[in-house]
Amino acid sequence: MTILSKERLRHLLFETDAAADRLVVMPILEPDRQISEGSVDVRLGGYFVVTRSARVGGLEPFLDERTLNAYQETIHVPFGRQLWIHPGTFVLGVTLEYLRLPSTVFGSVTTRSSWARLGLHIASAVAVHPGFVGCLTLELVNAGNTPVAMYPGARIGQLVFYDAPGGQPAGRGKYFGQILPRFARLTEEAPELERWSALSLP
Amino acid sequence: MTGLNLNTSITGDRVVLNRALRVVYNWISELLSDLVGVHLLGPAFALAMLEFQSFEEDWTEGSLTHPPTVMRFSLIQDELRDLGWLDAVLGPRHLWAEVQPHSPKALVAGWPLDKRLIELVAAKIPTYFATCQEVVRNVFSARAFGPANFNADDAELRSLLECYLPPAERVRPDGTATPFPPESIINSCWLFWAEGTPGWSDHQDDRYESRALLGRLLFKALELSRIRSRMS
Repeated sequence: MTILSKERLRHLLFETDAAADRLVVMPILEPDRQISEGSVDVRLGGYFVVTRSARVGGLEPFLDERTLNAYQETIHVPFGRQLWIHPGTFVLGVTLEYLRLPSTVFGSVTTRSSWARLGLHIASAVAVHPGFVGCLTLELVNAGNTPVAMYPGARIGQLVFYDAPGGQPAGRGKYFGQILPRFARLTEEAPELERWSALSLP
Repeated sequence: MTGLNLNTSITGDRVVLNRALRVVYNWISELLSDLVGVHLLGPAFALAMLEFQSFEEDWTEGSLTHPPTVMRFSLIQDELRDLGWLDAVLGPRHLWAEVQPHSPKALVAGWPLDKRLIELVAAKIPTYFATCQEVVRNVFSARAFGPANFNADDAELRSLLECYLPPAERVRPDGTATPFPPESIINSCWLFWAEGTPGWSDHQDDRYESRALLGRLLFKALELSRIRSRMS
């Protein structure tokens, strides 16, 4: 896999007619600033999932959807306002940009270095598979020593794109076409756990 | 009030008259709102109304607060036709069946009085239709959005939806983009839904999932269009 050059990115983003081959990052408000060699900057959207740890004794991700729902709350922060992320705190955010990757492009999302230097991590699950459609959920963690203000609209991350020749688009998964940050939906994978439980000795 | 043989000098009849006027007021408010809805949002308003009213059991039955549904759709249809939406958009897509004007039921003497009031108002209120239309058309006469504007954007809006993308903006080869107007975005989504989300073959078995996805695309498109408009 090779990283897509700036010229190739612009071609895929703006000059490709065939819908199936088009790389979509919508909107790109400042192409010259957002698109650099091999990557496209993405902005922070205005919706967050914050956690309410006082409401639950612990998380049982496979089995208890009700506890998961009690643990999280979706909030909206308008443009111009900030969300403070305290040290050690975990918040789900979302990209402002809506993405669609063609079957021959693979992507990964990382923190822009300026934000990383403040102690911020924006993603643990960094892979963006061919065929992905939707806004990316960001796993925001403040690993620094002081609270950091997050502003919707700020260029917070960068998407690096790679050529994936012969790639097959991923199937329509459980997060297909999402526009808001989505908490884990591991309860759907509970049957997998049951298979492992069946292996346990009496 | 003609038809009820009221003597307004009698207190009881005055109460009835006030009740009848209240019904007229409620109905005119509803009808004016429908007309404003058509002028603001075109077919999207009519299709949304259609879906909402599909839960209504009897479209010929009025109430103290709302005119008969068939009467409302008859007026909505007149306005859609006047604005050109029927001929330019809904007709060619076979999304509209002609609505016949409401025929009031015969007045039946006796109780309940409210039912007589409603039928009487239903018989008389069409005389106000022209005035209602004139008022709303005057208010919205400067409004630029119409079928011609929508049809100019339609193909691109549709191709974005078919690819599961928010129909938010038209991107040019140099990287600049123009936002689609909110009215076009809303209409494209409603028409796409009414036509059965063509191109979303994998979703055909699950209309609920398609509806949820389309709702998200609409929401995102309106957000992105607004951002693009304000940034430009």
